[in-house]
Amino acid sequence: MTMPNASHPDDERLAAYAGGDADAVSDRALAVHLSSCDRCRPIVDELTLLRDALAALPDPAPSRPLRLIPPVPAVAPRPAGALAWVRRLAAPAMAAGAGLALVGAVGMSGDIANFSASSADQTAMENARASDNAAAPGLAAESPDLSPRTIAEFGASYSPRAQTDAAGASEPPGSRGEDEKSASPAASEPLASREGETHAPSGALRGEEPWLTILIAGTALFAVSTVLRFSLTPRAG
Amino acid sequence: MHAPDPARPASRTAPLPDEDALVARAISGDRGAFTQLVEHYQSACYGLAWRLLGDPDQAADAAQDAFVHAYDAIAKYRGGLFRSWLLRITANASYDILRRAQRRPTTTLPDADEGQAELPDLSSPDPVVEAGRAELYRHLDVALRRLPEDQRTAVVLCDVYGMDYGEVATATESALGTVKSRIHRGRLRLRELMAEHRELFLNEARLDR
Repeated sequence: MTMPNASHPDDERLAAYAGGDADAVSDRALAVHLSSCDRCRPIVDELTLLRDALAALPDPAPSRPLRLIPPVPAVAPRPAGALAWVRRLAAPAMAAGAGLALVGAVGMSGDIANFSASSADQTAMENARASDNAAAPGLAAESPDLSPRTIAEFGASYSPRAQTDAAGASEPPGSRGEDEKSASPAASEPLASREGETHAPSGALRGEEPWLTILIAGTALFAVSTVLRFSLTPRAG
Repeated sequence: MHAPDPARPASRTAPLPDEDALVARAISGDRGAFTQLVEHYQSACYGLAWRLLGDPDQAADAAQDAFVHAYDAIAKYRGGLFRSWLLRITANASYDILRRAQRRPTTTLPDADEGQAELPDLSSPDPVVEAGRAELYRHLDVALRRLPEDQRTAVVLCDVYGMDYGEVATATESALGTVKSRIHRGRLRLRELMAEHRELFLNEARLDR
């Protein structure tokens, strides 16, 4: 190893020059020295050749085949197209179904109250007829506690009963207890015959059916959307 | 004597002809483009890791780690040579393995076993020239393994793989002045180690002119 001294530049400076370092290459004093120094010039030449050889060093082939790209991460496949839409719409559909079912239930309970009120009217009317045997058949219908709607409905649809009542009214007063007993089947018979003969639903049932439909539809929508939502939700892992 | 060219491009792996387009596609998530880029540079990455670590298996591990890191970081790639970027990641992956092994920076590597990391065909038409060149490169790799680790790393990154001083400083987490000093001392030490094979250099120099 050559010792650096006052007349020669430091060897690291020569290595910088050989490596093309800007500050060393632009150093005029160093260039002048190298052009005339038999000790330093061969060192720079060798270092330059060395650097060329290093830059040309071939790369060995990998010792084993390398995976160039990580495998696609194993995530649950996203449902494509229509399936994704169904899943996205499941929650709103659940809410809509629940809402529909509630509306249907409320509507139906209102109708049931209406219907039982009508039934109560009917019972009251029958009682009035039964107790007020001597009264004219039309009198019960004119009773002030009956609403005009009930009168109209019951007057129209229960006409067979009016006949029965009229027949009962013609019976003698002594047979009243017997009449009372027979009043129940007499009352139920026309109801059965009305359902059997006149297929047109009553006003009360006609009002109930849309609510029932809504309730059933809402419940079904809720159930289906709930099943879809949880069956399509991707599971972690 | 000839003045060294400071802008001399590294003569190893040249960029792919459509590299910019491939890089752009890889950034936007094109796995095929990324694979093409890494395939092109995989030998350079493996070679760098092998020269830094001195062990074929560790080198393969480092290159493999580097490819995974590169894939994760490709979206954050901001211009520059893709090769430099990938080699910097490879150098970091190699350094991680060195740190895990807790090697001292002045450690030299044992001589490579026979047949280890066989160099590819140098494809010279003249078998004599080819043999001489292969001999030169073999001695050069042996000499590199005898450098202290800090000098070897700096010389390998700068002179073999064409990084500039700043890139080497970043890759090795060292000060710029320290890096320059390591490279200069490493070159001088290599020249001493190669003194007995000087004629191989001179043959190469004669062929070049």
